[in-house]
Amino acid sequence: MKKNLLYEVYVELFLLALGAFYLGTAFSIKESSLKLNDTNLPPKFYPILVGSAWVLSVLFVLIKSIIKYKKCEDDGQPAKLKFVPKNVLVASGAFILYIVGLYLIGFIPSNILFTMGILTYLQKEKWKANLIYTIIFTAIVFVLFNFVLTIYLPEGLIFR
Amino acid sequence: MLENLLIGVQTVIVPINLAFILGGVIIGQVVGILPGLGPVVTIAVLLPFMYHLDATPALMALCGIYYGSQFGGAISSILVNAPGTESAVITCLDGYPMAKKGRAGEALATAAMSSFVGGIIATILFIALAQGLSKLIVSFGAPEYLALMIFALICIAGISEGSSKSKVFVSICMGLAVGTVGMDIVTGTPRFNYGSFMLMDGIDFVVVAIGLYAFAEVLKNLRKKDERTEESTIAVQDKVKISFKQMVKFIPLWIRQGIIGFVLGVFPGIGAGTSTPLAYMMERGIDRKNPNWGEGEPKGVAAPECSNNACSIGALVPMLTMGIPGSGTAAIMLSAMMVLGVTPGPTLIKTNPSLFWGLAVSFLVGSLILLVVNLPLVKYCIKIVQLPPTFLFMSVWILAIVGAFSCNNRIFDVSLIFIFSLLSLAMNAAKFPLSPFLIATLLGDMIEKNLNRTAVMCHRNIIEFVSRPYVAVLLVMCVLVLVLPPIIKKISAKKDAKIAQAAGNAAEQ
Repeated sequence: MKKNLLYEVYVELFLLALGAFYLGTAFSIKESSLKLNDTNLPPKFYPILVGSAWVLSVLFVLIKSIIKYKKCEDDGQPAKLKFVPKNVLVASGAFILYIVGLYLIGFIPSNILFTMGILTYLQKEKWKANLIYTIIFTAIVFVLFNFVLTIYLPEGLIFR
Repeated sequence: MLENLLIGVQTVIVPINLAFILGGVIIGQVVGILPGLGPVVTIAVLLPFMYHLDATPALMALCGIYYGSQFGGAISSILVNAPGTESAVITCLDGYPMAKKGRAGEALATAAMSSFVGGIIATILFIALAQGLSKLIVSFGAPEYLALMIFALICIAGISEGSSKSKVFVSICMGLAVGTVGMDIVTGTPRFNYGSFMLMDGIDFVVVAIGLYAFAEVLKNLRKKDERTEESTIAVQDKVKISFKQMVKFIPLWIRQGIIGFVLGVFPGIGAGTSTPLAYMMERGIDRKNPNWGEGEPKGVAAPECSNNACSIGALVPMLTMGIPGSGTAAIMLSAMMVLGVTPGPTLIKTNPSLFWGLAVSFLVGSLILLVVNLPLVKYCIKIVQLPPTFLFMSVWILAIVGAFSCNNRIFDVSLIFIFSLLSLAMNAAKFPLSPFLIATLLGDMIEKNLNRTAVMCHRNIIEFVSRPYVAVLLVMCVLVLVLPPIIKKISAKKDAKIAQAAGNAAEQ
């Protein structure tokens, strides 16, 4: 329980930092050279409104969480999470590589590598099914998008 | 009224439209059965395939996915005790015990029939209400629209169950902030693009939706074998049938819950997650002497299932007549409408009556299809849960990425998905709700536009804004939404305490 509360405090700190960054940027929005009339709102008015509401509400939530955290007795139990942390790391890493792959080598090779990589991590013993699925699914998506929907998937910088 | 219905029937009976309704409700049903995969991601993933379609059949299919998923959610609740959708959580309470006692078929039939009746009642109310509401909203100017949207956001923050109000408020602010990225609407001044050309147009709503939902839903299901919890499915032994006598007994319950579910659904922010517990508690309160509650009472299946379907159709009222989304799913459907070139809002009923009334009639037809498909095939439907989810969710993941790419044909959007995915995981861990974020992202643009217009129309004078009659009414409603629920809670807590005390006294004597 206590560990979970600590997570909440961390996330709220992060959201506070994000909000402060947003608000700071909002203040630095330039006045428009275009003057329409006197009653028009300046471009930074609404972002500053939203940013202030964001920062204030996160502060409120954060203070509440910290008080709750201080009051909570440590039961020594690990945090309950909806996701397996190791899987999140592996999936995020693969995701980054996939995006880089789309830039560099295009959709087909990076999709095959990405799908095969994740599937091997999850179920190595079913490698035959994994391989068949990877090839067929990549082919279906490629044909469907490139030829039927005429949305051209990235070709990459290297193989043109 | 009758002639409007005729327009609707005319639209629906075109074979291609019927085919799309059928496809939509079946996909919706499958999505509903699968725990973890929700309608938001499904619709987002299907969007690239919609660009080429005619708006009417495409929207019928999307609506079918929406209420079909409410229908399907009950099946895994009853047979696996794992609700497929948020709205089917309450159905587990009595549905699973019924299945355990060998009455799975009866429970499934009750759920299907209740969903059907709930859907029909709600559709009738929808047809009755939509025209009047559209007429009222058409007379709204920018200040009224602004007040309406503030009311919607306050409803979302004020009535939400589960997470704390302040957290919902944070999510709303973040969504609004995402909406401000890009150029200022009036002057074209670039904002929050940090020198990047890519962000000048703003962040595409579909990218936000996919980022917030898809990765988390995929990660919940992509697990190694030893990390998965094996769920045992109860086999259906009896016939999937509900007796006529039983149905007659349910009629008052259906009418009650159908109407209440619909009315709740109309308010933004109240989804089936709120209406089903309410329906269950209410029926339990009415039938207090029955000892079967929680151990397999058919009413405990009928009440939430009737309520959630009615609620999901009620939520389409603000979406179609005002252009305001009441839930994350409605938000993604609204953006789909814009992609398809349909302008949602009060003018829709006038400019495109065949679409509007066609959709209304398609709810009736779709519900009927679901009922007909459900009763005989439900035994086989549940097999979907038993399939290994790995390949399915891998496909969803890739389609989500490709779908985001296809919004603007750039890889940059895929990296944005990644950023939003990490944000959604963090917010998930800290119990920040995501659907207010999504709704606010969609509304942000409209709020700012109307805020600017209001400032001009009312000469930046707040008194002039507040003294408009509709604005005043809406703002009073905002205050009521914020103030009433805590008061009601206190009063009911006092009542409970009194009852408990009385019971305690009785026990002592």
